[in-house]
Amino acid sequence: MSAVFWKELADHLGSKRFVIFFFLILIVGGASTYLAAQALSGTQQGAEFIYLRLFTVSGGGLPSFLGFLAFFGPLIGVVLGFDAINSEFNRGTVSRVLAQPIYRDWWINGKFLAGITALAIAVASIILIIVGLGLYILGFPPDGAEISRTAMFFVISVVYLGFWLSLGILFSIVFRQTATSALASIAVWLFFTLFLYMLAGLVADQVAPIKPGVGADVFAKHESIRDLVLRFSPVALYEEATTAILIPNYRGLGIAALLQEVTIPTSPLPLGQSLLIVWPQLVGLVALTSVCFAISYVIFMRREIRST
Amino acid sequence: MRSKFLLFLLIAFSVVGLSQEPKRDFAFYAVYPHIVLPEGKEVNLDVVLVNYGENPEEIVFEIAGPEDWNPRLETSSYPRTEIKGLYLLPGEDAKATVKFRAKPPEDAESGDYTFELVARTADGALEKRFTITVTYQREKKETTEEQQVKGLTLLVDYPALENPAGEKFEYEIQIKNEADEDRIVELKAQVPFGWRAYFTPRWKDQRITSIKVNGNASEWIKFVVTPPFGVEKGEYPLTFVASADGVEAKLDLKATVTGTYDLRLGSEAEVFGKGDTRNIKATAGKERIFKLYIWNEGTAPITDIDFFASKPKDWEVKFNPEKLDSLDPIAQTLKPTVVEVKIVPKERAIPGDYEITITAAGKEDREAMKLRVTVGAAMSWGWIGVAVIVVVVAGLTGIFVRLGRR
Repeated sequence: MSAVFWKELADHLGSKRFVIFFFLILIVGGASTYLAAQALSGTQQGAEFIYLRLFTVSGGGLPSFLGFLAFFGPLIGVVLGFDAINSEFNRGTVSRVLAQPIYRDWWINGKFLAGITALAIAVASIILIIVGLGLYILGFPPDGAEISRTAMFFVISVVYLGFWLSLGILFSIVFRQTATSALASIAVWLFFTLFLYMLAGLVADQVAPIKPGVGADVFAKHESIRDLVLRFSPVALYEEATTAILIPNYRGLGIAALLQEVTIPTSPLPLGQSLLIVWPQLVGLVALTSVCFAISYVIFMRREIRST
Repeated sequence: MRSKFLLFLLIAFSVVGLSQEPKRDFAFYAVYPHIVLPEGKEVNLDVVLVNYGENPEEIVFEIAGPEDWNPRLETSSYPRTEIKGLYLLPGEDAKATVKFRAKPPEDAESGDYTFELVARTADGALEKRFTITVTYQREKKETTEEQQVKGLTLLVDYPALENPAGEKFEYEIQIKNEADEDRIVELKAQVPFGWRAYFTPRWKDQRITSIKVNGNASEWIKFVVTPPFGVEKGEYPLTFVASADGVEAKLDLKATVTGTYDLRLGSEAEVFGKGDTRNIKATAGKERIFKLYIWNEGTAPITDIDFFASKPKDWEVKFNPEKLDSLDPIAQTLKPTVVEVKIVPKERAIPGDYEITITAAGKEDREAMKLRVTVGAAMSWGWIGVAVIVVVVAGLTGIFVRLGRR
């Protein structure tokens, strides 16, 4: 399996499209981080978790690095996965590969693991560059809590990008044509990043319309329905999960938490408590990724492969 | 009876009409023809002329009486001019008032003196005369001198003023000339050493050293005193002296100077023109000494000066010395006192501008100063950050290049 893994990893890291997307995210992410550091500079309130704020604060019109990764990160995952299987079919290399003395699942497992590793390398290097930039601008190192939360952020980001990778692989198995699978992946990406947000607002407006003079319960219902719809999207799950990790005094979405913000002290929570708040979202993300990969695994294993 | 009256009227009219002469008559009299004159005073009487005729008359005067009294007639309005004649318009409304004046000679004895005043029309047709009698009363020698001293009187409404140091004192003084004649009054002042004094008319800024006061009249002047720079608080006596014709009048005044307290803070650049301004640079976690200059612009010492600073959270700001027992006015110390302010930005201060407000609070005055501290990043960690970026980029480039060539 390691032979497949290394070969695939080398293919990913050497491919031009990966390099292009990597540098796109690196440049825009780095710029947004730099602007965030500028916006933070001279803030009189404490410098608690300043390194985490580098990821979440937006400045100068650019979205924060977090928002950027949530929106464009999926493209990298999809790009690495959408032609994993069907291009081999189209080139007629499947039978040649599978004629080798390897198990059939090694092949798909190796492809998936190589993709995940490539993504992990990309995310890790971007985060490292941002931390280096922070060191240069701020002049003091991150403390333990910041490091552990950043590591957690890294893990969640890899899982999130892994979902899109497995989605790409699934489509590459389902559709014979690479163009079809690419378009299908992009359609799903657009649906989850753009349309679901509109849809959530629409559904909430229909079920619990907010009119002048309605009570707080209607507002609460409106918000909860909107959240409910949004949580079908891995993008929303990822944003919620990372928000809790990167903003230590975050106590959850929802109107209840917002209303209580005045009464609850906004002291930062320990990492464990922050994880507890977004545990459902984390489980959801991992589950989505696993289920996605499991489906593609099952389909691939049951597929009849003939040399053509 | 009736016819007789008519006839009389007719005759009277015909006589007047025939003579062609307009009616001519005038009155010439003194309101007070007999007066008592004490020593030191002059005769000053109103003499009235009224023309009862129909035409204006030109009147000439003659005065008979003791020549050494210098009897004369003068206009009643200022400026006083001796007159020998007068042009008198007809009518009671146009009556003329002139002054009869005479001054008893130094050696005049007590007794009655008579002056005969004659008024005659220019053509000599009409002549009126009357006599003025002056009963002169000479007094004893001593009382004469006292009378002389009382020739000038000084009045002031507010003889004691209180002002903070550095401000001038203004006394409004009324000079009364009790003598009949006008006087030039010399103005002088006795003030403590270093004080400056000058005089102005009441409503003008012109500085004067003497003023003319009319007889039996008074003038207001302003006596302005400026204490010297850095005068200590306390009470200072001032004397105002007015003298005229050997007569001198003194007025004792009092000026109370209260102390002022004006605490000032400044940076080195403000005091010496170089060095730290109020915008200083510091490095996170590193000690920074800022020299704070403090001085007292007032005139009295400020005591018990404490320092404190409002600063960003977790910063350290210390003062050396922590407090000053007393700060004398800069006029005495001549140079500001230096207080060393030790500023330590906290270890994890985000680079940027921070504001520190330094307050010096004494018992009498307090002053605050805002200090802007620009915190720069510690460069040691900055280089480590650069190294991290370089290593990551180099590693990635290596991977891309090596794998991309396959």
